[in-house]
Amino acid sequence: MHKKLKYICNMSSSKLLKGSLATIVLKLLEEHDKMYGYQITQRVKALTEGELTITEGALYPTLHKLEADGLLTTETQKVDNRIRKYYSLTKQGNAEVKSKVAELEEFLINLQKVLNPKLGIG
Amino acid sequence: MTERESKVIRNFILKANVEEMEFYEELYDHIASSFENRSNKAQSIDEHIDFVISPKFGGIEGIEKMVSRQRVLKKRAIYRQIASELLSYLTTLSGLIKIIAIGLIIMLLNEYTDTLSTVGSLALIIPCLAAQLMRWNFKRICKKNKLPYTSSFTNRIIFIVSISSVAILQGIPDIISRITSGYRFNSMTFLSQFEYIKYPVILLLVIYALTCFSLLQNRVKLKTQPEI
Repeated sequence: MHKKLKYICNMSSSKLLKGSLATIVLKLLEEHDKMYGYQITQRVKALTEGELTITEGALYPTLHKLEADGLLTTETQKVDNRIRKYYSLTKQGNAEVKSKVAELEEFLINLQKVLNPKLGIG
Repeated sequence: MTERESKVIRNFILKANVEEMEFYEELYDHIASSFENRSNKAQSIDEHIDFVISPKFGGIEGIEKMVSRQRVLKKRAIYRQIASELLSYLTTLSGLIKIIAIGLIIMLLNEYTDTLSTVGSLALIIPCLAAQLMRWNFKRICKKNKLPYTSSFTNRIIFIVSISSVAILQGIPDIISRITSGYRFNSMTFLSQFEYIKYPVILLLVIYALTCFSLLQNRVKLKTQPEI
């Protein structure tokens, strides 16, 4: 998944990334018990060695959409005198991650076939 | 973080008209975390907002747009919860048992005294009062803790849902009646004349009240004590 993430970032287009953002968030939350918004942006930055940065303007609506769809649940904690909102996967979210990641991987393989048939991916 | 840095963040968020607790707090935590983890420790909060935060969010306009999208999503989530709650009365065994139990209680109440219109009125008024009390309490705690916001978007939608039945069933017909005929109009008294719709209407109102209470249980509460 992390290699795929770097591949997306190499495309360096926020429009291309937008459609994959929900899958990236779900995958990160599958690996971590719970995460907050800023932590997600930093994790993506670290995984892609700074080549990919998630725009906050796209991240938060995505998180809220996933929450509205019942894939994420939230809890708040008071940290350093401010309220921090943590996101974690629901049962439904957990079940959805694998199919979403497989869908994205398949898409990337097909995209690679179209753009550069001689090269493999991953 | 110093008090001044905290105030600069607060003013930046308020400039984008983000005055509801859930959106404000998330944005504040993001900016504060970003500032605390900045690579250039010599960078001031003003510079950090101008050169890091603002471009990432697309400026004040970007924040306004983002929060307005989040409001739509939040509203949709609450409406979805209401729909699934109402549907559970017809699709689950516990829901069906509840409906039958409520129906029997309503019929029993009517056997002894004509209390049906009272039950209907209470089912209309109690959620509305409870939602208003919740809002007042939230505002009171915010003011007591000198917080920069006084409302929660989730709680406001819950209030609107709780008050809407009073407006639709009682308020609007009463206003129309006063304008057109000069007399007051009571929906419950009017409905109690019709035997065949009296029971279903009261039953629906009680289910509506229970749904409102379930929403009130999921209201946004303020955390004023540190956990970490």
